[in-house]
Amino acid sequence: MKPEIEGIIPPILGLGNDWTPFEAEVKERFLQHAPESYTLHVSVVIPVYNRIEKLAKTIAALTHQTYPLKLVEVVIADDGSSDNPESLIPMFDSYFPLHHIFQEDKGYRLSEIRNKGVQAANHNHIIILDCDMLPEPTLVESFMQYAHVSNNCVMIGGRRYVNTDHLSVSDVLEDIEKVLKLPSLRTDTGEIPLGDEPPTEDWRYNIYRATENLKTEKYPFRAFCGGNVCFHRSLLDQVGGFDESFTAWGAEDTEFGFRVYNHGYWFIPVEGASALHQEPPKGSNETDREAGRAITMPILIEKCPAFYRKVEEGRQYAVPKVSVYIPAYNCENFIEEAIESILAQTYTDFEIVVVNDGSTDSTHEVLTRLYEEHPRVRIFTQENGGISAASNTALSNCRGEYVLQLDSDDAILPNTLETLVTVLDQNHVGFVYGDSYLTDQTGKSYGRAYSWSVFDRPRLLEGMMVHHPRMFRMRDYRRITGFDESLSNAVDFDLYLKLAEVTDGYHLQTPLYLYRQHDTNTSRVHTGAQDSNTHRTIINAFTRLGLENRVELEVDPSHPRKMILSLNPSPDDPRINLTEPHRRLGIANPTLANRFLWDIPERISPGALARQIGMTAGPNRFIRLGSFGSPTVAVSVASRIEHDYDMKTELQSVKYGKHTSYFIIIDSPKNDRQSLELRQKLQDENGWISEVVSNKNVPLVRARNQNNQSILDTYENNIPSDGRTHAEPEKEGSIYDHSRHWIQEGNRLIFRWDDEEVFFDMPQNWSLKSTHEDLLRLAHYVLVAPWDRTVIEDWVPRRKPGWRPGLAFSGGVDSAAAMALMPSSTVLLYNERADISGQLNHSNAFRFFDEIERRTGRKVLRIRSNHEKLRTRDGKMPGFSSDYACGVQVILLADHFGLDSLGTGMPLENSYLWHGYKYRDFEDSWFWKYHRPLFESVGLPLYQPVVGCSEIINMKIVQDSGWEGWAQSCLRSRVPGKICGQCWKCFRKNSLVGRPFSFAGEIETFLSKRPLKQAASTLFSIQKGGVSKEGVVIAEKFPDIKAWLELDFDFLNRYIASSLELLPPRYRRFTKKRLSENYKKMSKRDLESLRNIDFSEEE
Amino acid sequence: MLFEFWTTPGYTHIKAILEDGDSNIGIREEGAGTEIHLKQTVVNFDYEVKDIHPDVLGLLCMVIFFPFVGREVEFPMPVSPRLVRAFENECFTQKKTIKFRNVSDKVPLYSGKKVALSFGGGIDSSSVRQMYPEAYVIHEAHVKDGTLIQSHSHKVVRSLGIERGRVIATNARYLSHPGGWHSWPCSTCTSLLLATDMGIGLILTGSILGSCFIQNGAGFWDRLAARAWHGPSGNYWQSAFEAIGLPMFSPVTGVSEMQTMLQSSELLKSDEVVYCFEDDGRACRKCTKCFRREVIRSFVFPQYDPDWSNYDSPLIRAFLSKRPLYFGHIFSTVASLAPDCLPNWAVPLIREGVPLINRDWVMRSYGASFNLCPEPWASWLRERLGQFMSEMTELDVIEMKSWTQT
Repeated sequence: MKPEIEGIIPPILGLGNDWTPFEAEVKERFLQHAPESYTLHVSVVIPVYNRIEKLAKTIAALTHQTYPLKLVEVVIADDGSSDNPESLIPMFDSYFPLHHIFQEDKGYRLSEIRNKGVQAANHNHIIILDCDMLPEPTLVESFMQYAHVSNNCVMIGGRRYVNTDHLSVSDVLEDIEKVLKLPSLRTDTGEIPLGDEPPTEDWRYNIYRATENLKTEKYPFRAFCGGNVCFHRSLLDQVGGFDESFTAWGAEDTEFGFRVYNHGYWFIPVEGASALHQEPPKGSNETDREAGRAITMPILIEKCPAFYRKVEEGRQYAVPKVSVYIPAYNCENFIEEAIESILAQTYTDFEIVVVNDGSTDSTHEVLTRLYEEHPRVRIFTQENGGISAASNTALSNCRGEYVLQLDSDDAILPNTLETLVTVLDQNHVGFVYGDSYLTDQTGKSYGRAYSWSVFDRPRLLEGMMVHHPRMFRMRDYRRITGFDESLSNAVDFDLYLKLAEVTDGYHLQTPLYLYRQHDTNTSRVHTGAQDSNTHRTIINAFTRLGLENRVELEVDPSHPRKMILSLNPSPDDPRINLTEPHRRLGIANPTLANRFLWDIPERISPGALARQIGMTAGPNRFIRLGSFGSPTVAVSVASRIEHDYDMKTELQSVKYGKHTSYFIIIDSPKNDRQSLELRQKLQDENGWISEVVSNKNVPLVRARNQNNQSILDTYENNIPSDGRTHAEPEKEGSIYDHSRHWIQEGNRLIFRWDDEEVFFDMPQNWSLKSTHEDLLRLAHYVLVAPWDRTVIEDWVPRRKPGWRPGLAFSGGVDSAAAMALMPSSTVLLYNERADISGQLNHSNAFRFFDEIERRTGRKVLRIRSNHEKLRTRDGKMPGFSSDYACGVQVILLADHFGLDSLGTGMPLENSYLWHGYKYRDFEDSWFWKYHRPLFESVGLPLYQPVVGCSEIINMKIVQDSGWEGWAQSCLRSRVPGKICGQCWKCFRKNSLVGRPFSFAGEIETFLSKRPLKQAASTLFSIQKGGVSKEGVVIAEKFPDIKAWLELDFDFLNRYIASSLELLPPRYRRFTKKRLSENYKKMSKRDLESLRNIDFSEEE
Repeated sequence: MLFEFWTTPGYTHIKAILEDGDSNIGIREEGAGTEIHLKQTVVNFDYEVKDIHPDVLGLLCMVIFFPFVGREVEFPMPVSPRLVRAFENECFTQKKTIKFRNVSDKVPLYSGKKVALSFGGGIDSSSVRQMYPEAYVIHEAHVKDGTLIQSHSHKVVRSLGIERGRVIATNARYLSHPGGWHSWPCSTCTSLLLATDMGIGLILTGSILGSCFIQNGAGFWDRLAARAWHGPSGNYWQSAFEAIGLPMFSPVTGVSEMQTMLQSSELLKSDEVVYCFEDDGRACRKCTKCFRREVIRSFVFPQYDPDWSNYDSPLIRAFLSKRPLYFGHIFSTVASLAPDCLPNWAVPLIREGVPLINRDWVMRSYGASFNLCPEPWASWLRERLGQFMSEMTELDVIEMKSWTQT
């Protein structure tokens, strides 16, 4: 491109979260010597629950706002308060109108009352203010200045922490200065800091300082806290309201913020919009935030793919990270390979959106036959409307943070998503694209597709350079006008021209895409239309850039698809027409519709401007090799290059944080293709990571090119010779007719198998219909596994995981310890043995459950069932028929409660110690290898937090978590709070802590058996106590035991660290933290002692 | 004051960095010398300079920021002692003595062979354009707070084509508050900017007799004698231009509005002249300027039939009653030689206290004015002007010099 044209291409306004354009408008309209008058009304929505005093002060502070009060109304959104906040209305209704809306107190329902508050508001501009957020006088005005400028931004207010307890509402009403002068507090103590100690600062200010006030923040929604924000009502039409499934403290605003972010909005921390947070006494909070967070964070992770989620391989989330979309038209022969190539990705956090654009061949049938039920594939069908219409439909249904385009006749290599996601995850760049292999009709590659080395925004205006595979951020897509449905081709060119107007791009010089060449490629037919559409697209782009006056375009007679661009030396108006950027930014009434190019940088933050500098490539080419971790290696490689290739090299060191990386720069031919070939040669011959670059500057984007030849070879080897799909059709699996085994009668679920019938009394609203067949099948299996395993033969499970764990909770010590190590979002489900005669008594368990509810508000759900009677068919006592029959109620309720894992209190004595007397490598055991994938396959992986903890540690965990005396393993006691003192469990668990036991029959029987039942911990218990209240000394009564008592079982006081690796990844960190903070892990010596445990020889 | 200069594709930028002694409050050199406040320190032009002579750049910086300069200046490139000496002129040093920090005697003298016209678009500069068609027309489009102030002249200049004229947009006129040019040479900024690239050796302007020699109609002021302290051009700013080898001169310095109206008549007919700023170039038919021009047109175009109905207003009557009468030499000549060219009610108002001019020197050029221009330009300019009008006679000059309202 001619430099004089390149030079006038305006930089991007509003890149990322650069909100400088709004700031500049606010300055020009409201902060000049003759400011504009305010015209917009605003509703201040204040959610409240039983804090009438603080609410009154907050409303009193609103009367001091510098914004005209005649434009303000207040909505008190009452989440079921009993202190009648509506009684405040007469006190303030002379200042502004107040409304009170109410919802019944059904627990924490902040999201719902916020939504209702907004709904009840009369005005379009909304400020949400927590009831304890006392606004400074400029709050409303500061917000509303931005509100006057645009509806496409959300405004965030700050806060500092004060104590208003000694001020009355009248004080606030009479003199706001009294409040403003209040000193800032420390929130942990609720006190004014002493000495040099700083007060607590709004945690977001650190982010602001590091990111030019969020202007360069990649995920600005992190700073969106619902307690002091302002936005336009239309936002909710776009993204929906606050998610009402968040029914505990925290994260609902972050999740809402993510949706706002993903819809392209800008986040502005508004100076002057601060509020004073009225701290509770002594820093204690009425809400248990830690407990709330434990419940809401898993929901956030499920619904927000950005920032908070660490992807677990194979897991499907409610909102995926990547949406791959395929517009499909008459592609019956290829669509399967396209979809299978996605399903085979090494990166698994994705969804596939296919739009069948009115195909007239069997595309629709292929799609429905193969993928209609596939949990990751969503199929939409519409009348034929062309590629743009199909793409728009697809994108309107994509839910991900990133979007990848895949043509229906093409495919991607298995590492494509992983590679491209890594670039977007690790950098700010807006879109990334790679290279393609050309393939023939059969899918065999025969070369590389054309590629231009470096993304160059001006050059894109001359012709398409952003080739497959392409991945962009949904946020940026939502800022443009989508695909142009009036174009029949050149649609991608048009789209990327638009995207390049809102964000930056990066070319990863790695082939990842299989671009099938055949006679019907749309770009190879209709050449005339392709040319004219290309011209239209370029002309439109210059118009959107506001350069229609400055640049003259005419068709190049020697290359009919190209256009010759020349600068109009004497334009009528030399300014840039900003209509399109203003549309995008939502600036409806800009101060100026046109601006000089020299004025535009003032509307861009320094960080955003710096980001854009690299978007113009220029004619120079260099090859950058590296990075190399040490200068020695870099020097060695450089000498080889100089010697073997006779090329001059230049070494470059770049500091990345604490680390220094070393690069080698080689001057490359200016010819782009030759540069790429040279890079390829260096990589192929030596394996050096390399990249063609256009300057020697430190690269703004960090990414690594790969040699994908071996991945391509493997992929191609799997393509059948007929050229159709290489992938096996999805296994349909054996059919399970659940109606033969499971019947629902009211709340009772009946299981029938082989003349056996057992029941489960399920909760109200539970329904068999809403329970995934896979769960029924797994429940069936765990109930009858000893006798019949055919139910899981040839089974292809499909259930998706929910979002929180379920714990098979017995109320005993081990499961109480498990509870303490699991998030508070865990659903506690008790198997209440019913209709089976015996000594078992639930008194202690129920007592414990009541206490749990009293202390934490968590309910333990009791599922009455007689399924333990199944075990009696072998003549045994009632009990669990298989190892995981203890969790059958969790399995059956997994869909009802949205469970993503099955927790049990399995202790070390049942895992690493086989039957408690012989060490086994549990991680490598048949038991684990068999059950782990089985449960994972139904989206219910096993979550056994105490699997590496002995009963000894579990006792300590129970003590430390305050449940001592409540968690009881004794199932016999009929007196709540007491133990029977005569059962085997009482003997072992209670003798450890010096509680009495009776040397009763059961204890004697078990102690007589060899190998000794639960030998290690039993011996440890005997070491601690070992004398019954009748005076029986166990060691003397059983001489063989006396010898074992000399062994050191102290290692049982410590846990096996590697056992934590068996936990579901999403909870691993949580449990690990809880455990490691308070307990010690086994040393090498301990592990050696453990491995030596083997009492089976004594058998 | 430290100056920075840089270009971006399509643009040129100059930045003033204020130092100790500089002030963002200055005094306007024109009019009543009111206070002005510097609002922006970066001046932008929508023309990308390829080359600029150090002295030309230095002068450009001084022209733009002079009111705010304190004790010292440092330019983006070292300037020659010629520029330094120009600012040692008494007229400058009475205002401020400035130390030039980066001076080099190795800077060659600037020279150029082409002629440019700093074109405002009004009657006077249009007459120069008409009489000197070889002059490259450079028009400044004003940018105020980012807004391009539209002008009919933009279209006029663009219609010439890039080979004959150019519109340069800049915020130079509105760097300070209140806006407007603080010194009259500011109108030549864009010509200075283009000079080196285009090889311009002479900058023409459209300053006329009334403002150069008659003190806006009050009476004669001998600018030739003022050379003794103003320098060879009779004006200290003009002398500074001349000192660096880029003289700036108005060939109509000795020509009254009567003649500039006459000479621009063709352009007026083709709607290429900005007549009045009240109505985007067209006559508003109510202001004092339009009234004066109506008088001039009825005087110089015998067939012109003026419509005075709009002008019998308090505004015009007050204007005519004020003494000294603004551009009184024009009104006096008409009232004396062709009172029919005035509305009846205006004649007594003009005659009251304004001496009558009996000769038609306002229709001739003052030949001695070319002594203010260096050779070889002066002879060429004078010869060309002679093709359009005759020079004043000795008696004409005597009457001109002796006529005064004060």
